[in-house]
This record gives sequence, C-alpha cells and structure tokens, in this order.
Amino acid sequence: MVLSPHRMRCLTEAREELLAPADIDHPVPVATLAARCGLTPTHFIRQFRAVFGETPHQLRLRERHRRVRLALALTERSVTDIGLDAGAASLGTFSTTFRAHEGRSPSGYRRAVRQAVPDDEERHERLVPSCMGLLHLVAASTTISEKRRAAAWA
Amino acid sequence: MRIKLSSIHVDDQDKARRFYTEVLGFEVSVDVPAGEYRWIALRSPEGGGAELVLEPDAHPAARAYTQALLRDGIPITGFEVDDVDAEFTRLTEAGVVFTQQPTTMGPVRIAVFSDTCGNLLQIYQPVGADG
Repeated sequence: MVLSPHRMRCLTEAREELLAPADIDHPVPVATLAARCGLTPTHFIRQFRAVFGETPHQLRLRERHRRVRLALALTERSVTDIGLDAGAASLGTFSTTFRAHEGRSPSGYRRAVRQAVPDDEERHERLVPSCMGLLHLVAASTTISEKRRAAAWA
Repeated sequence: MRIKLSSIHVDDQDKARRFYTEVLGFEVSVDVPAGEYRWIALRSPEGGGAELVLEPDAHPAARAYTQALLRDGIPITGFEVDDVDAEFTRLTEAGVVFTQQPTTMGPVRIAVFSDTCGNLLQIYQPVGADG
C-alpha cells in the first residue's frame, strides 16, 4: 500500500492525539478521528493498523497501561486514584485489566518495583531511560551471567 | 574508536522486534533485560558489522523527536539494498505501508515506509552516476 502524504499526515495526527495526556480525560472517539481523515471507522482502523502495527484502541490501551505503570512506580498516589484517572470504571476493573497486562495486581507491581529498586532516582532512571541509558542498565542487571554478557558483546 | 551501534527509538519493543526481524529480515544479535525494558540489538544477515539497537521511546525527548520526524515525513534512518524495486514489491506484499514509492533522486533510488513503531524508514539503492 502507498499512502498519500495527506493521508499519512492525518493518521499521524490521530496517533499523536491518542498518545497525548489529554486523551485519558477526554478520549476522542475513533469515529471522530476517522471522519477527520475522510474515512469510515472500519477503513480508518484498518489503515491505522497497517501503518502503526496496532489498532487505535490497542494503542490507547497500551499508552494508558504505560502511564499507570509509571504512576504506580514513581508516585505515592493511591491505586484507586491511579485506576480511576486511567479511565477504569472501578478498582476491580482496573485490577483485572492491569493483571491481564502485567501478570500481577497494581499493588503487587508497586511493591515489586519498590523492593527491587528502593532508590527513587534510580527507579525513575530505569523507567524513563535516557538515550543509550539502557547500556549501563544492562551492565548493572544481576540477571545476566558474566559469560553471557561477554558473549553478547563478542 | 569504531562505529558499531546505531539506535532508533520505537514505541513498543516487542512490536519492533517482530517487524524488524519477521518482515525486514534482520537477525537478533542481543536481547537481554535492561531495567524495565530490554536491550535489543539486530544485525543484518548480509553482514556489515554495525548493529541496530531498538530503544524504547519512554523518555519525553525521544518521543518528541520521533513524533516530529514522523509528522514531517522524515525517515529516522535508511538501509542500503541491492534492488529497491524488488524490496518494494516484497515488502508491499508483506503488508508494509509506503509513503514514497521507488524514486530516483540523483545517485540513489529510494523508497520510504512505516516501521509500525512510529518511524519512517528509507531504503536506498546506489545507482550509476548518470542514473
């Protein structure tokens, strides 16, 4: 498929909107995003998926999950507040959805991250790594054996 | 000093690893845990020495950068190929979306497509000086 610059621009803007912080409080309906591009919702979703590897809905959920993880790991806000802010209908819904993505409950995740990295600054660095910051995180990771690390850089 | 690594930022490391290996054909050189993310380096089966690192775009600067390039239709990097037209056909059949079909521009013939992870990529084929 070859997309026109105009169509590509439209899809790009839709993606930006879905990723923006404001989307959590005021999610723009997919039908609206589609109309802006002059497409039916079905057609819009198909093209979006072809270009960005996921549907608008999947991208929206992935971005919300990312923000939730950051809030749980780096702030002291209550799990309930974080869940409601992320658009969950209830604490129960939030827990279930989070567990489906992460394999553990929101509080379980919060506990695990704080236990693994008690230092606030280091925890922030691990979750919001700087360019090439991953290199020193690899070196620091205790899950890699010396031999494997040496082999990786051979 | 040797130039061995080239980094790009992707919006999801799993999605990126799948696309860059299964669709583009790169091989995984390293894939190990790195904090909350992974260190993923890819190499070309055609050789070349340098490796491509798929970094997360979690840092606000990385995200702003990739979004700005995407908005302006600027590829984040380019790969050399032997036959741009053949690659265009192969990738199109694999579902890849192009924003620029094969076009000769001076000493190269280029094409541009989406990497499904928030970036545009360019493939280029050197052509004769009188191309």
